[in-house]
Amino acid sequence: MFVVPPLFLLCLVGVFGYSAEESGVDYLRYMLAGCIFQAGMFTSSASAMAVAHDVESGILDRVRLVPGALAGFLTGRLVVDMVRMTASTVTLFIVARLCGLSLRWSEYGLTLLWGLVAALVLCLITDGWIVLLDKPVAAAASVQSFEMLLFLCSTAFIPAIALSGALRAVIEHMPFSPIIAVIRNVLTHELSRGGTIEAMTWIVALGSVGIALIVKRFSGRSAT
Amino acid sequence: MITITVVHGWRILRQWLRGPRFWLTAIAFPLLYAGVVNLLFGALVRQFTGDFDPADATILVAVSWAFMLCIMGSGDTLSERDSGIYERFATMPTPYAAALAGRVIVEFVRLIIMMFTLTVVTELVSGSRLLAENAATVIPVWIIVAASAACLGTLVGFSIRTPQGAVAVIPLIVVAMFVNTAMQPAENYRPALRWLAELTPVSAAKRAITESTLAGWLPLLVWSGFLVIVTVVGLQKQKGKVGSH
Repeated sequence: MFVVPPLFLLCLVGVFGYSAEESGVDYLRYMLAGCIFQAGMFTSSASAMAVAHDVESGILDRVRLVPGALAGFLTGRLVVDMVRMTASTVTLFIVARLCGLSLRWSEYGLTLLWGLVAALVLCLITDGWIVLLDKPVAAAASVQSFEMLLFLCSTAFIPAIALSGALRAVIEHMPFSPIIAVIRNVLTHELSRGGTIEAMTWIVALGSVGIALIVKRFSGRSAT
Repeated sequence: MITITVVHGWRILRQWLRGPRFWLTAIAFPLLYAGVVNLLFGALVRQFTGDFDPADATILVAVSWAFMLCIMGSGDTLSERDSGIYERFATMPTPYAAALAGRVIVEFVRLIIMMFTLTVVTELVSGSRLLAENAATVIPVWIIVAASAACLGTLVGFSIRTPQGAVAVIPLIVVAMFVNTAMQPAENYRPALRWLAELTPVSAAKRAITESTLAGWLPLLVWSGFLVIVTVVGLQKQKGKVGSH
């Protein structure tokens, strides 16, 4: 969580940054948004693994016995996740700063805020899915691989203008790309109103599905 | 010793073939990764340099995934160690090296299956002419890469104490995945990174395939020789530890 996103940032800026600068593209700013989203993915997969352990070890069932404690448990889990995401994002800011990125404080703040929103939505959807499964720990181990596959098929590292035809449409409108574009907008000021609406739609939809899954799991008579 | 090596290797291979994980990690994931490199990263490189050869994508994925797969396999070796299989080998009259050789050979077989499946499928799907035009060099290069990666995976499997221990090696593989001359020519890298791009295992494999001279083969031979020697020395030490239990 603290090593891989900065490593991706350094590697890809090292690999494509030089050629991109020659073409007039600020690839460091472009990449930073993708790496912040990647940090959110790693936060959510760590969250899913922690929740999965709590489900399999029976902690969650014991928490349910205390009135009101379940909401506190889930809120606490998400607060911890957001603290981890903040630390991960700050690490990325430091690495980007060392690579020569210069941002205003308001841009740092807004980028962090959107990163936290993205991480929160990812945590809700992965945690909501994990608590429904029979073998949550085994499933949680594969969350990161699945997210990584989707992530590589987004505009995280590859600008949509490099693609064409149906492939471009698919990559541009898959759920991760509009959310990454909103984070990137703070850094590049290039997102359209339609893009923001699309991102907000995905954020609300994914967050709602995550909450619905958690409510479905814990509104039943028995947890196991 | 040969019989024990074959029995141990065959036992591991049969376990792998029964589960879906083998097919996912050795066949499906590298093919998906090749698709992403070809379609997405290839498009980006094409925009910057005007050209991206699908054969380069095959070299990149085959070599980098071989190292990724061998590191994934080190978790299985750790499980076998934890269950005491290698301690039992150490008490048998057969040389302990048979158990280690069995592990290396079966890992080698898995990597060869992955690399050749990937090469053939990308040849059919993406228009890569890697095998058709360079069969005489691709086959020995794949064998050398698979053998050195199998050695590395076995060494890591015998060196780590927790499954998370293997993760420490992955950042190095991530660097090798991106910083190489198969992704794009060295002159497109920042000047400070060009030497590194020329030296990584993926670049060494590409050079050996495209240059049929001793100078072209030298980086690959140095890399693989280094990995094999480090593995032999590392496993000798491991053998001493097992024997002292």
